Amino acid sequence: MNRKNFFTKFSLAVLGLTLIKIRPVKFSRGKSVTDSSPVKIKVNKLAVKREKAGVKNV
Amino acid sequence: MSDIKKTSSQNPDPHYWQSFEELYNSKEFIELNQNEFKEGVSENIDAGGMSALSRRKFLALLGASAAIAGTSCTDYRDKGEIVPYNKKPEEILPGRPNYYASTCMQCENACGILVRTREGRPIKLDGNLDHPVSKGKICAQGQASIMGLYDPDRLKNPKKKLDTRLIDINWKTADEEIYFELINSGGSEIAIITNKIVSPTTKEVLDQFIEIYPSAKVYSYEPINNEVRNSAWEKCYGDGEYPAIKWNEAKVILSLDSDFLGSSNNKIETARLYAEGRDVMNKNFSRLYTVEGNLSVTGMNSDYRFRLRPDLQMNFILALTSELNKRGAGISLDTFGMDLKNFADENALKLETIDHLVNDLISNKGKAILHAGDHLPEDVHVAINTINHALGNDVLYNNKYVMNSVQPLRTFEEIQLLTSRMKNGDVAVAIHINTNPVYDLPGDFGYTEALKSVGSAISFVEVENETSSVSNYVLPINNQLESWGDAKTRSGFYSMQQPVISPLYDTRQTESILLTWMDGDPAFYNDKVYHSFLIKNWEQKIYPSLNHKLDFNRFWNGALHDGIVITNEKGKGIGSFNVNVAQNIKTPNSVDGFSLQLKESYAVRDGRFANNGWLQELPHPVSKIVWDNYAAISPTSANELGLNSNDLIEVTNGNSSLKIPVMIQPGAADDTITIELGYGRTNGGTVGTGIGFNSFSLFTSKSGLTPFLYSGVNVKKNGGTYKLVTSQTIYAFNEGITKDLPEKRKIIQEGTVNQYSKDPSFIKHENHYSDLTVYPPIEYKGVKWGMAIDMNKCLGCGECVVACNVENNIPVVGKEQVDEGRDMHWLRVDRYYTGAPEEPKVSNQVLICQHCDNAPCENVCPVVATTHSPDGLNQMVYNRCVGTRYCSNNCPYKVRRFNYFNYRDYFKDGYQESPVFALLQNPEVTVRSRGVMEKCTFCVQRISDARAEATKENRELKGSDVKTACQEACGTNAIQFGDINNEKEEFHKYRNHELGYYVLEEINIKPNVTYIARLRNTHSEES
Repeated sequence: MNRKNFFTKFSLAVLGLTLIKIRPVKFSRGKSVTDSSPVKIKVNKLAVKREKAGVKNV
Repeated sequence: MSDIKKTSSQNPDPHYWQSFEELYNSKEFIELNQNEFKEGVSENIDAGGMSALSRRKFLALLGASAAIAGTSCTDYRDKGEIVPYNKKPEEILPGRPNYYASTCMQCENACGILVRTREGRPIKLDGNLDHPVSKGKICAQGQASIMGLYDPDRLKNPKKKLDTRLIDINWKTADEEIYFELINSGGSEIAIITNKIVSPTTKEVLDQFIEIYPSAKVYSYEPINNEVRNSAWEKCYGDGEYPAIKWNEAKVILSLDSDFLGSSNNKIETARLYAEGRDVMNKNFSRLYTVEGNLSVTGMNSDYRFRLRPDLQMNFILALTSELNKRGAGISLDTFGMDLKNFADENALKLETIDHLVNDLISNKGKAILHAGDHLPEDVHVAINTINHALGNDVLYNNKYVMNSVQPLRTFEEIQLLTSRMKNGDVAVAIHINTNPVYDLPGDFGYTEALKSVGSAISFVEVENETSSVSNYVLPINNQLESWGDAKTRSGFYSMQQPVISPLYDTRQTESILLTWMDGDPAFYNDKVYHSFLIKNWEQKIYPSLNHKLDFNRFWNGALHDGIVITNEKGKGIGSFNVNVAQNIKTPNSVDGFSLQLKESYAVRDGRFANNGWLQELPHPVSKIVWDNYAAISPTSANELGLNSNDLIEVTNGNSSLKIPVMIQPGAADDTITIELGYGRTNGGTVGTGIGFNSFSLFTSKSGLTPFLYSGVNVKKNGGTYKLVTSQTIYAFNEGITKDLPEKRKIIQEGTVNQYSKDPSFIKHENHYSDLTVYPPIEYKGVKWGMAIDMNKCLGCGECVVACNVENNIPVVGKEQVDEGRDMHWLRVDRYYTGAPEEPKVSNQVLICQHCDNAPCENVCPVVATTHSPDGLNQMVYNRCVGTRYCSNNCPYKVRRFNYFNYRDYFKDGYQESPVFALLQNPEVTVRSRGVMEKCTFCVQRISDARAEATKENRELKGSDVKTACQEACGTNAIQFGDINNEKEEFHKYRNHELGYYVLEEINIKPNVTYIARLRNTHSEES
């Protein structure tokens, strides 16, 4: 096989594998619970923190 | 050579030959030589029939398949980036936990909690030590409730019913449409159906709501409640609620179908106080008698136990009263001619034990308590109160923190009237606040049908339930950890609730929603609306009554910091006893058929925790069954009906019937069926739906002694079976190979209080073993960790199991895997029966990794994945483990757990792999994957944390610096943990206690968990 032929086929192979992963594999796997968007955590700034055990304030 | 050839010219050639054919050059041999291959190999080669696939193409295809397989099977999940804070929130120190005081609002007890957060998210709930009632402990449901915050089934936005579907809407639309319904309700009722209200500020919101909508009425109900007990109390003492009891001061306790150590009603305080009365350190032992229809947690821990069908409890009490009166008790109660001896004979109650009971009650006047179960009829409670009063036992009622009801519960009759009004079209709007009446009200109310006649049914829920599925609007509310609030369950203190995280989804707090509807304008809402209302209510109504020396702002921050506000309120004391109350007690009826009792589930309560996998998988404390409920029946009754465990039966109660599998329960009373509630949900979330059998279907308002106790119930074999899964194999105890096995192997060692007082070292006398070993002795310098478990205090409730699950990221595996013996609990509570199946004695034992000095698991690991630390821990190195499971094979305690699957992925199609569920995990503990062995680590993450703190403070690490998760959770303080080498620590007394023993000590693997033998407080040295 000549060099041009080799690289052409190699590039096509990589493209094909990538497309397979994007479309058919994901489609057949179905909706995964991991696909849902992650939840954002926001601290409630009005809460008052304390030590685990120790001095009481009131 | 030529000579040899010549010599053999006539004879066979004398060269090397392998066969006679070769030697004599036979015709066959010459043909074989000419044909290189055997017949058929190289002939008849049909080139046209061969595959056109050349070797080259084959290899190319092979390579391509491997590439595709690799591409498809890889699942690189982008877990996101770990990015350091650009602007770090002031409250957060990465890697360091923060603690917030709050209140658990999962039930009416409103225990104080301390929420541990990491990087802004809560990961663990423990008790708040400053709470005067719970004193640093919470129940298993409280521990597991952290899962509710991260439940993937939580509703994320409001929904509205369109035809049969629920469609997403926004809050503005929901507020506008519902406000329209409210203002156009006219004279029709607006029913607000809630759980028991414990918050004074929530009550204030509801009161103001009623002022704006005068046709609004609040219906607070709990499907399982103590209203019968309270009603009896009111009749006996004039007003108030049944008080808390000083269990620690009682010398004799008689429990009449009262599972006070296992059921949720005030269980945390009760268990702690009871355990104080079973203290080997102070040699302080109460004596517990139980009379019950089914084996319960309380029954397992009793010194003497009688089996009696629950509909005969009244008869028993009257018979007991007649005997007590013969001994001069002076109880003014008509006994209707009942005689205790005759009663005992008729019901196979051991007379000698009955005698002990009577003697104990008489000789311990003022130091004994009789306690009846919530499900027993009012007459039983009135009779019990009368006996307690006559014997002077009312000194054991707690006057200090008197029970307080912010809003009284409605009776079932009132709820039934509401249902009738709904059916008549008199109710315009029904607002269900975190309740599920479609599921948990008696079926004969017809609530589901009635709801169809309501103009607008609204449900406030976190997760959809049966009621929300038939509602017009479903509004998602904040989790308790996202909510503001307060609670007043007793006189003398308030408990504060603060949100430790902002709402994860587009949810709102219940009170904020109501306040918005009171205003009418959806734009009124903001996320501080209830917070402002709460502060204002406290500033104007509660704070002035406290006479506090601090100004309000400082007081408020202090209150949130502590989680508790102690007041100067004095309990008003117990009223005077109405001596004529007992005159109204009716003659007890005769009984027939089966007795049916419906009890709250130890795991899922009334069904509200059905979607919590940890609780579903928590073994039942008595039967060890998981993921199901069942009908418990005695061996004798099962035999009469021709039943085996797992057989389906049909239980018919009036017009209702239920098909349910049976479980033969040793110790159950004959002709009694006991079924737990809270199962069989049809819309209980991904985990909770379709689990078990809905025993609420047997719940009727008509035919029972109480809604939870029925007589004359019909039970018949239905045919068919249903597999119940137990986490412990049900051995045929006391038969054959297993006869007395726990005793022979000294796994369970017990005695009596009498034995102990005569010879405190009787356990040590029985344990003499050689300590010969091939291993060189290892000296542990510094801290050496050990644990001691006091079996006198261990109730077998399983709270430690749930706490360990939360702390150590234990996955839920599901029913089928538990059936395979693959449950992943690092901690298990073994339950042993001894004696006859009809009247067994029960012993519990908590088994964890014993962290043996000569650990048999460490030697056999081929990759050294399990090692021993310098401070005595048996360590597990997950990333070395290759999963041979040899260590588990060698462990005599069978405490190692293998990840046969990646259970997070396996259970319910990756339910536990959800991104939000991942937030639940404790970042200090490795999340194990498939193929790796795991086990108890003595909470090594907490040990490391304490060591780091000690280093920072430039001091030595002490054993008392570390509390394991199980130790922290145990309501009775049965688990002690500390430094074996430090003689000055409290732990040292437990480690070296005269009643201490080790399990399987004879095999000389030197375990580091000491068990303190259980003592039964019997009258003589009965075994």
